Amino acid sequence: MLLAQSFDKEWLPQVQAFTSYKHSFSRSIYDSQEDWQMDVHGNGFHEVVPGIDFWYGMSSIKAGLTQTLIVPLKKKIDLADEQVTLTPGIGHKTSLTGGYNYPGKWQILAGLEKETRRNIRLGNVELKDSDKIVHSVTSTMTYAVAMRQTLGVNYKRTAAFFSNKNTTRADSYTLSYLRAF
Amino acid sequence: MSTVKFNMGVFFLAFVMTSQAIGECQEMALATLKARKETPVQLVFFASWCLSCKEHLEALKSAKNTFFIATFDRKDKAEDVLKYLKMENASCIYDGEGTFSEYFGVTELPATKTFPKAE
Repeated sequence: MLLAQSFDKEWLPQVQAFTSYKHSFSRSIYDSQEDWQMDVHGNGFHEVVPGIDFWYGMSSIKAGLTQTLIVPLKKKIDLADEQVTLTPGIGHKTSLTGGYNYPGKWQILAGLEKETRRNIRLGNVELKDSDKIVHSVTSTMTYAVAMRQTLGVNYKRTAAFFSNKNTTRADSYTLSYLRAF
Repeated sequence: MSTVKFNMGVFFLAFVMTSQAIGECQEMALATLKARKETPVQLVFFASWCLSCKEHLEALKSAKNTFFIATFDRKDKAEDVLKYLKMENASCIYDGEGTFSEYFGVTELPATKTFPKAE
């Protein structure tokens, strides 16, 4: 954490830097080897994701902004009896969140997200129009059912608004239960 | 003998409350608190990042025989919130190592404990 919140300075955000790693256990659509691309799940690349998050959480009205860089790792694939390097394009994601918290009871948040990815390179050739643009909308509601126990409902629609490219429109619903020990 | 013990307890409390600078949280060994046998005190655990603590502290700011224990926090930030709540004269202990929190089983904030513990 780079900067912690304090209730005597509501205007000061909490600032956190983070890095995560996503390991891919599947292939991408560019190196799929099965019929109907049945071996493709997700984008098929390992990714390192550094980012920074700003969160205004010291009043009932909450707001946050997150900036994330998506660095996919290149991989070698077999193409026409030779090995070629597949280099996915670097991505960037901006998330904007806002909502309201009723202290100790419930919280509702809504968010907008924009993710872009640059073109993929196959060897030295850049695959034109392989870039990606996704605008998503999310909504989360959490409710404190008991001490240290929270129920949550989340909805996300990808490709929800504006123009999108090389992505699919999808709706996802998540029900969660959190318990703090 | 009981009169001497009572006087020592009152002296201790007076010593603690007057020896700390106004608006500062002092560092106290847990053993010092445990050595007290008289006059039960209320211990209020808080942190500057704990939004629920703000209302809790405001409700108890005038309470007697109360120590405010800043835990899981930085000393300067804890002192800042006490100044913000106009509680510069409150008796504050800085629990930087978490020994008070661990001894009293504090796992969430705010928390209020009594010492000595009620039988």
